[in-house]
Amino acid sequence: MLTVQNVTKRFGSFTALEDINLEFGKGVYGLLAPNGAGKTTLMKMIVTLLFPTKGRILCDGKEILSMGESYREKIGYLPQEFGYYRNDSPRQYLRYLGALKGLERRAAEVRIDGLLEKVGLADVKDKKMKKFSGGMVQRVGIAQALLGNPEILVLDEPTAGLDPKERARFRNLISEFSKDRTVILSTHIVSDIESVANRIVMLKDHSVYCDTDCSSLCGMMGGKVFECSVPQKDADSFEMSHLVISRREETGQTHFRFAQDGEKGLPPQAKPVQPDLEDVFLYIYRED
Amino acid sequence: MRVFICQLKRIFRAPFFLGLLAVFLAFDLYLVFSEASGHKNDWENCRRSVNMVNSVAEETGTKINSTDFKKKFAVVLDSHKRDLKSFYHQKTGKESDDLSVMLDNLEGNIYQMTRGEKNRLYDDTTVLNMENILQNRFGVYRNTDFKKDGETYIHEEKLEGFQAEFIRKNSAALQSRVKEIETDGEEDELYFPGNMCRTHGFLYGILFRALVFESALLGVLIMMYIVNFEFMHGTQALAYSSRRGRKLATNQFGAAFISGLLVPALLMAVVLPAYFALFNFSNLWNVSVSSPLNVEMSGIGFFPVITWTRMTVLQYLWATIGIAFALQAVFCLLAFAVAVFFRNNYAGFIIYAILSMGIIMIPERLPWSTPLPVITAANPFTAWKNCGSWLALSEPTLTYPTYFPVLFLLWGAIAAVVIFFGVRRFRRADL
Repeated sequence: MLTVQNVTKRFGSFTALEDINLEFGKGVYGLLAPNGAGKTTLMKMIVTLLFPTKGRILCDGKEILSMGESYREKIGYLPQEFGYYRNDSPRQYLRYLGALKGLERRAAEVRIDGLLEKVGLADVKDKKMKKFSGGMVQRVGIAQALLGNPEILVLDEPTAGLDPKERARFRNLISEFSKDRTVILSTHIVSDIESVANRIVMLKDHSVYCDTDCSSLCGMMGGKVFECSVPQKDADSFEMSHLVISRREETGQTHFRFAQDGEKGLPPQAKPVQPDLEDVFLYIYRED
Repeated sequence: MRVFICQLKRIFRAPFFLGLLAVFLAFDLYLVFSEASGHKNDWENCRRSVNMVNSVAEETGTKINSTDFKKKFAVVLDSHKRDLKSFYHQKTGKESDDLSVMLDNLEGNIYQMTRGEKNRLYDDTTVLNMENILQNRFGVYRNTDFKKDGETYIHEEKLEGFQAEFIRKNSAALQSRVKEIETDGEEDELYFPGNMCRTHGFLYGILFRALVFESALLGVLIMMYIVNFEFMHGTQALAYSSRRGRKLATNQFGAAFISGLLVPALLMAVVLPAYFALFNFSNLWNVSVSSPLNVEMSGIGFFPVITWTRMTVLQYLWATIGIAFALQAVFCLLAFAVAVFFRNNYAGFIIYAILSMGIIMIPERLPWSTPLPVITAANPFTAWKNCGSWLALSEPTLTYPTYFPVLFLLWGAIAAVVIFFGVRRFRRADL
């Protein structure tokens, strides 16, 4: 169990996170918030790259900063900005990281081959990474995060640069991996966590806004999400007067999905629909 | 251990490491072969002179005042005089017993000689010059009163306070050492005459100075490259969140430090054997470096090499090598100290270069009413500048017997303190 206890983080006069209290047990936790909300800051504190200004982070009751190596060997981390050694192949790169993670050489070789197979890079395992696309590099990053078979996996924007097929493969990988493990992942691609996350943590104004499961979160928006079609000539004025979630042009008509509190001003042709996580995200962060 | 080996491999695979090593080796070997080839002018050839003196020593021994030496040297001298006469007759068709006439005429025709003929002339000239040098060797020390010279200097420059006392003390120590040279037999030991052979000036003043500079440059580059490697590649988040964590810096330091010490070893392992293969010292390893024959032009005029204590050629060579390695260790430690504060290689290197130039200039700008100029001159950069005068008197105002112990203690302590604070800062830094 990973416990974030009254954690505040300040950078000079700027407060990135204020009085955060969270608990992460086994399962997948989606960290959802817009840019600058403090997701990366929280994740970096969990992996000991940053130190809390106040409060502490505990792993099974012990403070992670005092645990040292015994804590860090439980972690797998994929940062948002992921650096690599251009002249290394994925295999060489993972070998080095395997050494840093304290893996025994032979066990690391077997694991590396298996992981590269899982992320679809077995064919290029000995090619230099400077020739890779962004998506291929990201897959190497995912592989290195899983390399040490970590108990706690922290992934910051893991699907950035991945195409839909790769994102689907990633979701399956995480689902498979998350049995009896803690996975914390942050993303802007709501659909990535909608199907895999057991709990969603949303940050707003540098604090925890909510920490609940997906269905409860979507339930908060019950009766607030609608769809309707309006003539194209009225589409722009409609968009300006409503919180539009999505817009689709059809022949002569514009189809809108939008959120609204209450029925005042609701177009007669609007029909309520089942809200999803993206609806929730756009509604909660509508002022940002 | 695996992490440490990974860092070492990274250093050895770095293009700048092999590239610069090759360039430095090529340059040093060029220096050696250039000195050996006698390109400088046609009237002298240091290598032939050195090898000639060494071969004379093989026949005569090295104790100049011994009866055995005098007898055998007379035989060698006579042999070369006859050879010179024969050569003179061969080239000019004339006969002469006047050595200066023969030498003037032959040297005037040197452009028309073959390489073999020039070598013959060099050999004869070396032995003939040796006769004069050996006879006049007592003038190097016995006519000099360093204590009196020190007082004269103090009076003329109107010095007082700490500086006057420092010079007085050094002059007294120098006079005492000179007395020792006169009484313990160093004065009567054969050595490579400085004006003909230039062994000390070239080997220690030029070659070792180049070796120390090249080693320092490469050592500093290695240290900055490895210590900041993760930051320069943007991989610090992965590296320092791993199980090894921030202790990775220890492996990086260890690998860079050992590689830094390997650099002078590699350079010396190639360059010094090349030098000694061309310049034969085999019969003169056990003579004193402070022999009165070891007089060359230095920054303070023609000055003998006077070591603070008796040292043979071999001992002096090993001591120089040891000091070079110790200085390299200090350069590497200072580079680490800069690297932990400046997490950018380019900025770190520029800062290091500026600091080194500044540290060299500081002693000259400090007041001599205090010991500060003496203390601050005990730094690795000034030591490098004075390469060629190590363990001996050079700048009369700044050198003293405990120069190197003071240097290593002081700069070891400075590096340790800066590193301590740097590492502590890194351990608590947000990454």
